[in-house]
Amino acid sequence: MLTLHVPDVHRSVVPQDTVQGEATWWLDNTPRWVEVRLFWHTEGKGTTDVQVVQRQRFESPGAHETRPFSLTLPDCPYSFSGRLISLVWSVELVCSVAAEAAPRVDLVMSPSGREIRIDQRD
Amino acid sequence: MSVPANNSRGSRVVPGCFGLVFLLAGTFFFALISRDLLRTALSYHWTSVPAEVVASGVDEDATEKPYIAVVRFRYLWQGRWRESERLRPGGTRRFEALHKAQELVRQYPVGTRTAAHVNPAEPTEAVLERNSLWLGLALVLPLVFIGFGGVALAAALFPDRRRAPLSAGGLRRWTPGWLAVAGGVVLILGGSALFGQLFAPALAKTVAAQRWTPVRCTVLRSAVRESHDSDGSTYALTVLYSYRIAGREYRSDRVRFLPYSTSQYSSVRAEREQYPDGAAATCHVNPDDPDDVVLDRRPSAFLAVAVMPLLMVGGGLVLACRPWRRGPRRTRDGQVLLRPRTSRGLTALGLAGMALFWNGLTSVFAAEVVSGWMSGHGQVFLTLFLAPFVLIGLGMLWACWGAIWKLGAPRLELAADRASVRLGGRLPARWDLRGRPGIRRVRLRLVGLERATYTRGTDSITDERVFHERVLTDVTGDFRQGAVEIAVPHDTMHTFEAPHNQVRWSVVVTLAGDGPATIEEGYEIIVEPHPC
Amino acid sequence: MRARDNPFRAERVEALGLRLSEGEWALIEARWQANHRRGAIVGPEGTGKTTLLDEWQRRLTRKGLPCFRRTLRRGESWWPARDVKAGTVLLLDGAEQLSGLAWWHLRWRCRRAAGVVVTSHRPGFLATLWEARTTPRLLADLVTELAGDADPEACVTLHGRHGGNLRLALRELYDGDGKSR
Repeated sequence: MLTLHVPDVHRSVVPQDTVQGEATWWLDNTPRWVEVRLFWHTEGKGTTDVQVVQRQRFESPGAHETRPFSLTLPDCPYSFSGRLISLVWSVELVCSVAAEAAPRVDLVMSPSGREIRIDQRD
Repeated sequence: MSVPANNSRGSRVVPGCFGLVFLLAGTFFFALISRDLLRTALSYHWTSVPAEVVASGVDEDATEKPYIAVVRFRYLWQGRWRESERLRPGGTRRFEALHKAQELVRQYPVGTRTAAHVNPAEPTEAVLERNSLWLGLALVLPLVFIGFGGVALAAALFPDRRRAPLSAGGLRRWTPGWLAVAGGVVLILGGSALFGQLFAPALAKTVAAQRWTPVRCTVLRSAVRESHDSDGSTYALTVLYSYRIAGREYRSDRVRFLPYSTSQYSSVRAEREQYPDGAAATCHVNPDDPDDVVLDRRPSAFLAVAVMPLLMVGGGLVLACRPWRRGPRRTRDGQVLLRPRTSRGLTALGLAGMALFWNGLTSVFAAEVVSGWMSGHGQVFLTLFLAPFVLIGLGMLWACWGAIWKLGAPRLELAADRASVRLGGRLPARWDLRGRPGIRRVRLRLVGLERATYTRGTDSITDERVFHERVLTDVTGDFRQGAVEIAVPHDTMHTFEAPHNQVRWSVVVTLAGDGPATIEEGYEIIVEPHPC
Repeated sequence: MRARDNPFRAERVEALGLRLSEGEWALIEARWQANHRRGAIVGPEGTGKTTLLDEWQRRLTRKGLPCFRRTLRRGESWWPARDVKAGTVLLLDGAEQLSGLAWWHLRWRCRRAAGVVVTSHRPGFLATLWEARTTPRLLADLVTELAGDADPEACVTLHGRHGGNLRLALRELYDGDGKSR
């Protein structure tokens, strides 16, 4: 079992802000590696684009652990939503042994801390 | 959703092998051409001595190239007269066509006094002409092969693993470099050489021959000559004919100025039936030179292919004449010139290339079909099969015409202190109309666009949507210049580029004149995120 | 409506499961085995061939069979297939793009592959394992799964307008702001 906890205060962030949280895993076997990834991806009418911006790998992970993480956001791209494209920032937890879907927490990154809306024409 | 770990696939072996092949081929041909160039250069150090042509004519035997151009001259070397029959080092004297041998011989009638060039190390080696040093230009092509092959091989052996992030801060920009210039030079030289060697003489002769004198001639021998190569057999018409000018008999075998062969045996045979052995025909003789003659002086449909080398030259000029720059173009006072996303010249060139390539190919078949119908051997199936291709070609020509018209149309030059502006920022810019007058309305709009491409299976579909549009200026009248302020909203999205999804900003210019046609072009600007 | 809220966005459409029963799957696999593990999924554009290939890849991976997946883009008429190793199952999307010579070259290169499955718009490449077809009813089912409900009559019209191409039909619904008209 993998879980990710990011406090609400860290889910709306500004560029170059730090996202902090805790990653917890409870596995049958000791994994070779456990990693938290900070990435953005697109959703919408086009094929999904993804880019991993930062990773934090936990050294010598045990089979059951909780560890804090801290990731720093870049200055762009902002979280935004149009009619064709949405860009979403996320943090996910992955490891070498888990077969279940990786837990993921979505963030909003922009100077105002709110998603930029371009779905209405102006 | 789990993000896939970065994995770069693809082998460097294939590009490396390609690079090695290009490098080796380029080096081999460079060595060959250099050797010939060296020999030619050495011949320019030979001694020039007086010479006189003592015999000049065309002999004939029964070999594959039966016509032998014979020009025998005597030259004075150290007080002794010697004789030679060599026109130039390495040059050929044997020809498949009679008129080619005649052309060579005509330059040296008996009694001509000229200079011969003698190898001082071997005085029996004497020539009337030396090969041209312009051969050196042929070194450009193998040098390009060597350059390209070297770069590809180096890239395969020493890959650069850096990759720019896909956000506004890491936009990739391609600027023309030495490769483009070298490619342009190769295209110019190659196109010029092709046109000059293959088409220009035939074109010039065709035009001149329209004023030549029609003369009755007699067909001595006509045949369909067959040639074999790896693609199969091709057929060409050969006609040997004689004619009389001022009581003297002449012979020639030039049927047309641009001879060609075709895989359509039936059409060549049908043409040969117009020239049976012993029949009377009409040839056209140059009034200034009775040896200069042609049987069919009509422009050959094959001349349409002549535009291909011209396109090469045009494309080469575009590539080579664009300045090699590391950054954006600037005005004299240092301002940045914003550029349209698509170049009118490249668009016209691309469309012209496609249209002429397509029509060049289809015209060859169309000419055969038309000549077949005209000679009573029309082929219905081939005609119907070719019709859609011809229609597509006409459509391409129409599009090409529009693009070429746009080349000469006025254009707007948009200059600013920089090519980017921050969110919430303002960018003063200046616009100037270039080109001929006639524009009555100039409209500039700031447009923000989201663009999404969906790829699934073999298909790819792109959708666009404007999310921001604001008129910056809209002037009517005889204005040739003006100023605008490009103001970007504070709470919108900056420029974003990813493989399938983009947010783009541009200044869209609309020019309208007295007529119905308007010109619309987009000038890309980069909208940067807020400073942190 | 925001792109991420649109029920017909690309990620959701691509996540739609294949509408094949286990019995139909068993039939396809039996045909594949009977043809020396070579076969083709045939059908027009937008009829689920790629989706079927995705599911096939998942099934093979669960069984522990190594797979090599390749999609040919429009105009890609030659593929050297150097990455296909012996003992691997080749899953090729878009075989109709290959020229005749390229296809024969591919067959020769894959002679030691553990299996070959291709998708194509037309039959003739390999034995046909499945003919992909769509119906207005299927479109209505998919729209219901994505948006919660579907107008059957509208689906019939939509299906006919796009010639059975579900991909285009669902993209048209995207533009309708997610309403299943």
